[in-house]
Amino acid sequence: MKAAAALGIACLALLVAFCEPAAARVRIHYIAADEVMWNYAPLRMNPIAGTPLPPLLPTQLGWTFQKAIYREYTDATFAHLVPVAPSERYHGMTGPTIHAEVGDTVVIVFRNRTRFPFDIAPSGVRSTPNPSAVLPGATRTFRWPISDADGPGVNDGSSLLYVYESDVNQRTSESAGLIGPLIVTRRGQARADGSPADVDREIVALFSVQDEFQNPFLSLNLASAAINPRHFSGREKTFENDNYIHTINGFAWGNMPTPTMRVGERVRWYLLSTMTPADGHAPTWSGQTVLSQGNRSDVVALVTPHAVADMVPDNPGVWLLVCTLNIHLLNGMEARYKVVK
Amino acid sequence: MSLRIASILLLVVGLVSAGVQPSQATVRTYYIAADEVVWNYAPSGEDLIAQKPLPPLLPLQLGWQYRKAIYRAYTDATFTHLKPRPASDAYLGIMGPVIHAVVGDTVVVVFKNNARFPLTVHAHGLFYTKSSEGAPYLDGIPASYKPGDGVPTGKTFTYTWQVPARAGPGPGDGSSVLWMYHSHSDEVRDVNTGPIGPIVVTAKGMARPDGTPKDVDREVFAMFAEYDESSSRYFPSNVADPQINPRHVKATGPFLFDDMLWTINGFVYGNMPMPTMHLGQHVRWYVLSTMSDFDFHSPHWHGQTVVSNGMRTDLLNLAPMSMVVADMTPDNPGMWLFHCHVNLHLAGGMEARYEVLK
Repeated sequence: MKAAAALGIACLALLVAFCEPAAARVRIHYIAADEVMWNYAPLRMNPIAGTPLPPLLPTQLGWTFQKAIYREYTDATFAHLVPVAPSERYHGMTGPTIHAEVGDTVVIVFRNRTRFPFDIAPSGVRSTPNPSAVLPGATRTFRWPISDADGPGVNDGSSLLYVYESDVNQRTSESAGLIGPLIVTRRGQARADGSPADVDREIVALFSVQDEFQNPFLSLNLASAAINPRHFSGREKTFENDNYIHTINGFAWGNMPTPTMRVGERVRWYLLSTMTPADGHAPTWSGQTVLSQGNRSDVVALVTPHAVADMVPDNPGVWLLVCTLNIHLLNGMEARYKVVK
Repeated sequence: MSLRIASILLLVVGLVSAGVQPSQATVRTYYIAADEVVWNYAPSGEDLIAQKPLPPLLPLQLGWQYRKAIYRAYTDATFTHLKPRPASDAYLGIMGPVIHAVVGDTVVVVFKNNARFPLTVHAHGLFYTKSSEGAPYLDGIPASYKPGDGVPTGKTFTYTWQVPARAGPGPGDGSSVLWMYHSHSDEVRDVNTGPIGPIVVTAKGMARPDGTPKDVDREVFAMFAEYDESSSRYFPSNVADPQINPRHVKATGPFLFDDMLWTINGFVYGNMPMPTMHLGQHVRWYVLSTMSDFDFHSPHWHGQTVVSNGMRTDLLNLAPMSMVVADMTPDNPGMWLFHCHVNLHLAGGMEARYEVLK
């Protein structure tokens, strides 16, 4: 009898836990735009083909450039970076993942630690104040209230993807490297951290043609003997084309650390893209299939800045994730992912 | 070192056992060769849609015919007799045989490479172990376990693919979905060289014995491809061949605009034989694209509408290597245009016709 009562109470507690709408949260992130020296090919080889990197194009500066990327800090002092777990290092230059459940408010304390004016602006979601240039060294707080209209639609899964970027000058900001994912989970379907409860693993992949000619650090990069050892002026006829770097999460030629997932896990892939004229991607997986908008496929048309695809890996091994557009693939827009038992 | 070998062996055993599934279902065997042919993109020698001569050759264009390798079906493992393609399927053109399978089946492709380059058969969507992937790259598995990653000239290799539920229709799909198979020993060059074909996977319980979906009366396949002949493995030999290059044009690839052909099933300017269908039939269009730099297409049907992904439309959006299904119930008899709406592609001859009979 006592046991039955205890069981009843436990059931009631469970019911309450599941039925009560989660209290709207305020999620604070301390995000800086930081200047970094970014190496697109830190392995100095192509580990997919097992070959050296292709020779530099005639007027290509190299594989390392000064850039600006979004990074997350532990608090308002911006003294300590939030450590990136080894399993997340494949995120590379992609900004920190920001999660929210519909009803939450995301608060971004943004510090611009670069020498150029930048900001942080979400696509699809309202921001107060309106994003506008934050001057070098300045800090400003933006609030992103996540309304029902921002959440997943009827054809979406439990979460969807937006991007945040600097919209001071989108083209040069994207070419600097400033872009990251904002994941919005449907009301009542999120874990405490805002991630969707019905997903075991989230993978973020940014497909981007990084246009180093539009990088605001171009003149600095040209002036640096370390970055520009061949002393190009930047006015060479081929310069612009030769300094498009074809990347996934800021890595070329398979240099992205390999994300790992397990057979049977519910894996959600969040695919982002920059929007330079050279972008427009066809991310394709070998080894497994995905569901995207209810359709079975192994390719997603990434002609908009973001797409979501769900995978339940059933095939262990090391597999390809590439952009199948020939020009992109032939220029190194390829990575691998790993499925273990 | 021995530990490393042991772990590799374990992994291979694991991969093999993962691939072996209880099979009360059908094993469907296809005998497919990669054959060298001289492919004519415009066999009539004219623009059949405008009824006028083909446009003049571009300065560095070799012509309208190029040597290519294409997949063709044979009757058995001797590879002596081509499996005849019925006249109603002549429009399939450059594409290899349609592979049909049902969820739960096993597909076996006995592949013979009759071309002068190493080629493979790589399937999209189906379950393959590393030995049947047909795509060489560093994946921790020694090359000696993967002879299918590059089948030498004259040799045969057997690929085995499982068809689990994840290869079949998703909740938003109809009774069947489209995949493709193509050579992947050197992917970009191989696809421009020619070997590619469609795979249809039908949901369990929804298939006829031949694997086609029961609720569909007529299946039609259309591949929108920018063939960059200057990226084909045959390009240097085509340039040197007076039959292919009678003007002795001095062309070098890759990415030579003049030798890019804008094709549907390997035909330009309406040279694709017309697929026919009847009023009121449930026609399923399977539409795919290849992977060249301009392979973003907007196939558009005149005369009828389709339903794709639950939406009524008369136009699809294809990105590179797309595989899209669209269902049509023709209600408007006649001969109708089916073409790509990207201006450059349409001007380049990416247009065909289909015919609706009473």
